[in-house]
Parts: sequence; structure tokens; C-alpha cells
Amino acid sequence: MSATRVQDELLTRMERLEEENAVLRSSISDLSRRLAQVEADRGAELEDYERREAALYEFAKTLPEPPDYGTDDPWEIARLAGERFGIGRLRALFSEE
Amino acid sequence: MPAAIQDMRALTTLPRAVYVDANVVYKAYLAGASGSAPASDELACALFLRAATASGACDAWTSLLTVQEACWIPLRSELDTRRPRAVPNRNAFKASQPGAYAAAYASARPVVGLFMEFIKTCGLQIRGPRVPRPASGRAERAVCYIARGLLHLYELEMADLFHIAFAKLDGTNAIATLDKGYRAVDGIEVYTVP
Repeated sequence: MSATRVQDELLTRMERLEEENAVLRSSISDLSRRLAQVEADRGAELEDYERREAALYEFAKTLPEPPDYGTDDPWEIARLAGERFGIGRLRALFSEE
Repeated sequence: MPAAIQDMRALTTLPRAVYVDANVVYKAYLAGASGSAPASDELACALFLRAATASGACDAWTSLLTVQEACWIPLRSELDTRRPRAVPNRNAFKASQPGAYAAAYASARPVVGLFMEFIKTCGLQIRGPRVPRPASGRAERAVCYIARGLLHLYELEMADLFHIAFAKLDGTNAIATLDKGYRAVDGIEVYTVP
């Protein structure tokens, strides 16, 4: 193979690589733009969430404290209800008739 | 074809997942409140709820609609019981006798408060149907679509249509309820006290 032919082939390959490189550079640039947009959206979403969370906290502060029933055992809570209100009254209240 | 009926008193195996209706929750609560003398349906519901919510037993869940529905029952009862017969409805009661209405409401508050605490702690998951992309609003539209379809097929109360729609959208076929109306519904399995 002559030196001129080798040079031609190398030049062709180099041109193709440069084209591919340009395409890749464009993709990277596009992805960077999209990433920046996603980050901006997430930032705005987080900011909005934090604003709503703060508003909810302020609202929650206006509500009375829930009573302390002294237990988180549901069956103990039910027993307590029976003791406090009477099963007759509870059955009447929960009647759907 | 109507629903497949399972007697919750004679269970050998639990379903993979079960949606629990309001009446099962409050009957179980009444069993707990009654001490040693629960009615048979109350006991059945309590035992079922205990078994279904035991760690790893099955995916026992319900929705906020159930919480609202169950808590409204004693509140509504108290308001209706204290409403004078001559007053036609609760709105008229509130408008014409605000003091008596407020007293009735205040009387029901502790009852509802304790019951709500029971619901929160009894081991039932309170959630919506598990769907992909829950924030998209598609699930809510699907629930309305299913409920509207059921409305044309059965004579169920509105909340019941939504309970079934929630369960179906989640892929939960088993529904625990004492409501006989569910038994007519094709494509579900009803855990009940027949």
C-alpha cells in the first residue's frame, strides 16, 4: 500500500471520527441542558413542598393536642372505651339502623 | 355470578390481601369494648381483624373513606338522638338550636376520638390503591370509572361502590364486610358472617 493511500485512509477515518465527536458533543450538551432543567424543576418542587409543609405546620399548631390515652394497644383502647362510655351506649351509637 | 362467600369464623387460610370495610372495624371495636360478652358477629370481626393484621399474615388494608364512614356513624347517631322529633333534620337542628347541637356534638367527640385511635393502632394499613405513578391522577379517575360502572349494575350505597373500586384497582379481590349488599357483586370474594 502506498504512503499516499494510507494517508488518504487515515484522513477519511479522522474526518469520520470528528463527525462522530461533533454528534457526541451535541448530545452531551443536550443532556446537560435537560439535566439542568430537571434540577431546576426539582428545586422548584422542593421549594413548593417546603412552603406547603411550613404552612401545614402552622395550621397544625392551631389544632388542640390529641388526648393521651396512656396506651397504643388497640384492644386496651377499646376496653377503655367500654369502661368510659358503656357498651350499651356504644352499641346504640354504632347502630346503623 | 355473585361474589364468592367466605365465612370469617371458619377460616383456615387468609387471603393474600383483604380490604376491610367500616362495619368489620367497628364491630371488632365493640368486641373489645364489651369485655367478656361480645356479640357473635363482634367476636368474629375481632378475631378476623386480629388474624389479618398479625405480622406478615396478609396485606390487610382500608382507605380513609372507611375511617370517615366509621367515625361518622357514632357522631351522626348522637346528633340524631338528641335532635327533637319536631326538628326535621340535622341542618335544621343546628340552625334552630345551636346550643343543643353543640352539646350533642361535644358529647360525641370523645367517643369518636377513642374510636379513631383504635382504627389508627389496630394494624390495618390505611392507604389508597397501589398504582404506578400515583401522583398522575389516573388512579382517581379509574376509581370513578369503576364506581360508576358498579352503580349501573348493583344497588349499593355510594361509599360501598368506592370501597369495591379501591379494592379492585389495588388488585385486592377479598373484601371483609358484614354488608349483605356486597354478596351480589361479581368478581369479588366476600369475607363475612353469613
